[in-house]
Amino acid sequence: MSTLMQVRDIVGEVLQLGDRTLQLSAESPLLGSIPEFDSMAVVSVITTIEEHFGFIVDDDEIGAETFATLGSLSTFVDEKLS
Amino acid sequence: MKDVAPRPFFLPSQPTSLFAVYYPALTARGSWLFVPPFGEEMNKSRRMVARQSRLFAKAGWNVLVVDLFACGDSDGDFEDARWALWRQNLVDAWHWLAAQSTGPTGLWGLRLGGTMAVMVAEQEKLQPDKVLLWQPVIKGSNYLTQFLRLRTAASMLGSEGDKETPKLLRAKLDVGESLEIAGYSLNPSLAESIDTWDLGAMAPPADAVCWYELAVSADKPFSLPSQSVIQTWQQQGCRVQCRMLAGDSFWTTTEISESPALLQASVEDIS
Repeated sequence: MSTLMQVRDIVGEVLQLGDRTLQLSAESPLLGSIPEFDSMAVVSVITTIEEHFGFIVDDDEIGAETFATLGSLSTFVDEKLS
Repeated sequence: MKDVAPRPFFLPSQPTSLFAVYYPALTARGSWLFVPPFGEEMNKSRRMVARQSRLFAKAGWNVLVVDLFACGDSDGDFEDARWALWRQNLVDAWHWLAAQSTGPTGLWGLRLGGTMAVMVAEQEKLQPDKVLLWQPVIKGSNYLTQFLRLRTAASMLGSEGDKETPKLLRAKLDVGESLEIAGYSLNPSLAESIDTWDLGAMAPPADAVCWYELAVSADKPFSLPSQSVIQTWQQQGCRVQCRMLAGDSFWTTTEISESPALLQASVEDIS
């Protein structure tokens, strides 16, 4: 499964988006667009990504722009993995 | 066995009495004290804890669920919460519960409550007959970072101002500043206590431990830190029964959710 799909599933799982998960694409805006995406959800997404991909996120590496779209979040994960 | 109605009451403790709910069994074969998780995780898990407590009571176990000082419906300002106070709360609850019936008594904790259960068992020499851990936090320092991230995330969501990283927030705690995080005023002393907790450095809290975690699928392996603690405890002669179950992380989900698999496994295994 591509990173994008894995990140999509994590976001869908944490936010409990159900069928809406499948409608998300790289261009889908996250922060400020999905009402469930509050600060607790941001933390849960970061934690789940850390556990799923097995790396630690340094908080200096992330900002609002990381969570702008599903694509930007996925790109961040790819950069961490490479 | 039949249901007996749960009984809410105020349990005498320090520095104030605590809101508690007692789930008595019709004929008790033993008792369980629940140690609640931290902050919002406690509110999110209320329903699961109540459901599990009723199931335990039905199966013949008295259960006491207590809101620690300054948490939930207990009195007090969260900023005044300290580990020493919570530990005393748990000891008082433990003795109250032990006075209700004979039979084995267990400690049951969720997330940081699991960690606190192990801590209090050792520090206060409670000697529980069994310990039930639901997704215990292994390292308090990682948990604290995650909690601080709530404020980092909130500052990211805001349009103005600088991002407050956990590193920056820890520096504030270090100079004695309390921090307002997700509606909780975190005192540096409490943060300092949590920061030092490490299950990996603790002896097994009982001869028998049930250790359950939830994941998207039941075949997901335990995280390396969990595996390491489980193995260490086993090497020290503790019977650790661990299960990975499929289910939502009900202590964080946006909507209140339940995990039927966890409810069932717990009631099956605690005897």
